[in-house]
Amino acid sequence: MNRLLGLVGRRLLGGYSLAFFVFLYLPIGLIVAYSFNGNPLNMMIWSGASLDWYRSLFGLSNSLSENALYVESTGQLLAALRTSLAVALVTTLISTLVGTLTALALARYRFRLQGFYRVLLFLPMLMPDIVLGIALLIFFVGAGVPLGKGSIIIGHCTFLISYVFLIVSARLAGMDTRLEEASADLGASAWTTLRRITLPQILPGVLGGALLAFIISMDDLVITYFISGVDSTTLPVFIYGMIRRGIKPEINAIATLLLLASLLIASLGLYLRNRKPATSSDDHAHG
Amino acid sequence: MSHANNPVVEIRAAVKHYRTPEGHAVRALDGVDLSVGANEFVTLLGPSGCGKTTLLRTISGFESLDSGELLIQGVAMNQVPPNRRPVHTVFQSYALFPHLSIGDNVGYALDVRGVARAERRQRVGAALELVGMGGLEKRKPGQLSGGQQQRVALARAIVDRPALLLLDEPLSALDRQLRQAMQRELKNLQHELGIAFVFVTHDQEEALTMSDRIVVLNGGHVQQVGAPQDIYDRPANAFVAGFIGESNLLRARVESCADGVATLVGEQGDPLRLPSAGLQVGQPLHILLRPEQFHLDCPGDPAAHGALDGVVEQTVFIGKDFEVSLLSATGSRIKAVVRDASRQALQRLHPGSSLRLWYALDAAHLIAGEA
Amino acid sequence: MLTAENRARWRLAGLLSPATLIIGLFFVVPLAIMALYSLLEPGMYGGVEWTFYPDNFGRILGWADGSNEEFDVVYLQILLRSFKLAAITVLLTLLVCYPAAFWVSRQPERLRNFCLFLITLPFFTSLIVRLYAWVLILRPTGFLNASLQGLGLIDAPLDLIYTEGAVLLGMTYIFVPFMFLPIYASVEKLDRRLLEASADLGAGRWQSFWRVIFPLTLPGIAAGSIIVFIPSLGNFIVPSLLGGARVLMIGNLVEQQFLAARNWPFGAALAMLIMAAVLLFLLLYVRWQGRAALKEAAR
Repeated sequence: MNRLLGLVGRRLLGGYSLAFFVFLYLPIGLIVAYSFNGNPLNMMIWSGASLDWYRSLFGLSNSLSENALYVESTGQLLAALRTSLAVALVTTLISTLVGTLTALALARYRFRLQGFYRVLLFLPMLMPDIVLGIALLIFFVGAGVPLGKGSIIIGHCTFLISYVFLIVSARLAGMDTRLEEASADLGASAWTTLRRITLPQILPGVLGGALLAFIISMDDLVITYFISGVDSTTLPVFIYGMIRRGIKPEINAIATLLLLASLLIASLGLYLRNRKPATSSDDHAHG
Repeated sequence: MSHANNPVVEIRAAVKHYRTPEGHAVRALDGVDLSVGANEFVTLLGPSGCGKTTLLRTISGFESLDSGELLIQGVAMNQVPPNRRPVHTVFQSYALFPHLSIGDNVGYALDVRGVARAERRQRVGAALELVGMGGLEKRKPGQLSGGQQQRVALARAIVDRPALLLLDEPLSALDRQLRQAMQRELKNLQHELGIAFVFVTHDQEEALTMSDRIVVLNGGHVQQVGAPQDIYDRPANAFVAGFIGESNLLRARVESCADGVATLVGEQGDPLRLPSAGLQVGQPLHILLRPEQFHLDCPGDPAAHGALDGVVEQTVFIGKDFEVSLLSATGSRIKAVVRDASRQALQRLHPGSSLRLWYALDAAHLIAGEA
Repeated sequence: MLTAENRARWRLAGLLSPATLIIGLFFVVPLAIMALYSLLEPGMYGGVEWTFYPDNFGRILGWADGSNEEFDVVYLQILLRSFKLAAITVLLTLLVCYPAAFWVSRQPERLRNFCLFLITLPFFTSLIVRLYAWVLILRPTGFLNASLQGLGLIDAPLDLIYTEGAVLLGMTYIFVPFMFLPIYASVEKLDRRLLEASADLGAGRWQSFWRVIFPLTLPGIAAGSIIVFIPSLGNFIVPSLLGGARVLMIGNLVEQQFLAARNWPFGAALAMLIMAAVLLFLLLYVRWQGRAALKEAAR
């Protein structure tokens, strides 16, 4: 009886979990499917596969040009994409550098304010976006900083430093400190040790942190929403605006392209994480 | 001692405190003096927490002294960072750089000093050859066995001929057979290189096998410094006697001296006889008798030997020898190792039988005891 | 000539100063200014007057007497709704993730890794796109209504979007990965022999769950809950897309004050309440964690 219950339980659990994954992916799948629907009048009714919305997206001629609902302006969309990429690249660079330096400081030095710094570095990650967004808005307006790419980059850096810090710190904590001692022992200066031993050891963590920073920066909506200027709309803010103005089939096409990009980036991330670096403590037992 | 004239390392009155997480101050080094001569193999021996690793890390520069002096080749080193000291360490876990090849690991110290390429290649090759790892430059540390990693760590530390090599329990991760082979090799290598070695271990056998001199440490104090034979045969105090080798340590007080023989009464009342030279009536002593110094039959002149009577508690065959635990009439427990016991002698070793154990009077080692 | 200690101190200062500068100037200072703003009088055209003005909070919490501002219970209602929806979101994500985490942890390695990849993928996927999917599904002419009508199950479209249910669905959807990973981490660590031991000692399934599994996975549940609760409470994207004007949350109020009503001090006061609530929950969590760690250490 108990065994039977166990079997039924396991089946139930399996079904439940299947439903869980369907719940996760069905909505996304719908978008992709709709993006290829050629029906110009009602996108809920399938009328054959077509790439019309993708063509429309990029302002290419399409067969439905008379009555299709164009995306407002392809130029705006591409400008938003450019802004997002520029912001994300600069943000990634700054936050990776600063986050890594900070992680090194907290992992390799003992000082009185250590606990304070740990809390300080945690808070930006946990602060609700909207609070940080409006606080930055008040600050920038008050300080006379023009809202634009610069303000967005600053805003993103404030909390992305924390993410990078956390990931690199974890990596540093897992690193054998004896390696650095061995390097100094063999005559290397602090700088040489950092360059030749520490950085290569924590590189996967640094790259992972950079990747995460890039993704979050590209995707950030709330903070950017408050501190982006008129000519510095980012992609998520642009899409948000489009959706608020009304559903158009082109949005499906944009969304699908974004999904494709995320799949690529996620695979890259997975690859980076699985590329296990050899550690000296791994293989003592062999032989 | 000749090495005292031009010591490689000299430490005077070294003191180092630690603060435990609970806030107590612990003295890891409490006024330690040490000098290591050129081409000398010195072992720091002691139980864990005795200060030996702290002392080693003081020399390498990873710990700084609270007070005291540290000189390497006659130069004060207290303020010199590790990378500017002419000293290299072989770490307990080897600490090979996992992302660098064996060749780059060994060549690291040369790179740091800007040694030219051709010379670097030649010296890396020579160092690897020396430890029997020639031709493995291209491998990564992860592809090597523990013993091989150990050799690479050694090659890496000697490639630029430091004045002194520090070894932090480098053999503890190896299995017994490999460890014994490496002990001999290390000793040979040290002779060949002519570099002074300071070797840290908690393994007394290892220390006795390899060292020119042993420094026994406990509680941040140097207990005794001496050649292995000295330390074994003539331990300076009860700690050293107990830590090195198996020993029977009997507390006793001198009762009378006559005809060059002193009679003592042990703590438990055992009557003991010793050569009386230098003893005074009433003096408290520790008497050290190694288990292998006992005999079942008096090997010679009974006047030159002492005897202990008791009942056999247990006899264990430990391969070749028998280890006998004897409970003396007065309740002291004596451990003896009996070699080549005949069939007849074995009869006497049955638990419960009475037994008399003989020792040569001059075999007993005396340690001045507290009153 | 610098001593070794001084050199280390300079190096440390060099490593820390960029983060100190950025987080200090662009995080701490703005939050402090926001706190200050919440206590200042709103000016005529969206600015502020530099006078102490407790009525920003009074409008929400009840001590505005009507001379400057009027207390309106609607703000408290919205605040309470935000807490309610955030709490229900935590429960829903927990309900969705807990069984699934168990199932995933018992799969063979390859399938397990694939499942974990599927669950982490949304982290990399645009938030706005994932929410947009639910707009497509829930709106009157959306996928669900169209399907149901097509099947002849309903005549007129159901009221799906712009309801609390829609907001909950949207928040649950986007926060599921946040809950799954901490729970999975604690489930994966569970020693299955513990269950056998529990059964061996005569405990039934239900007892085994409550007395062994649940306490051991509690740290994961707590971590997941706090990670989901915090962004849910102050969320404004989900209610603005799926809640419309009918289901406002406190985040929408803040947005309105800043971008439409241009009453920044009042908006700052609302944001202060969100921040206070978040810090309070964080503090409780940290203390709970600290006590759990102490208990662990005392064992």
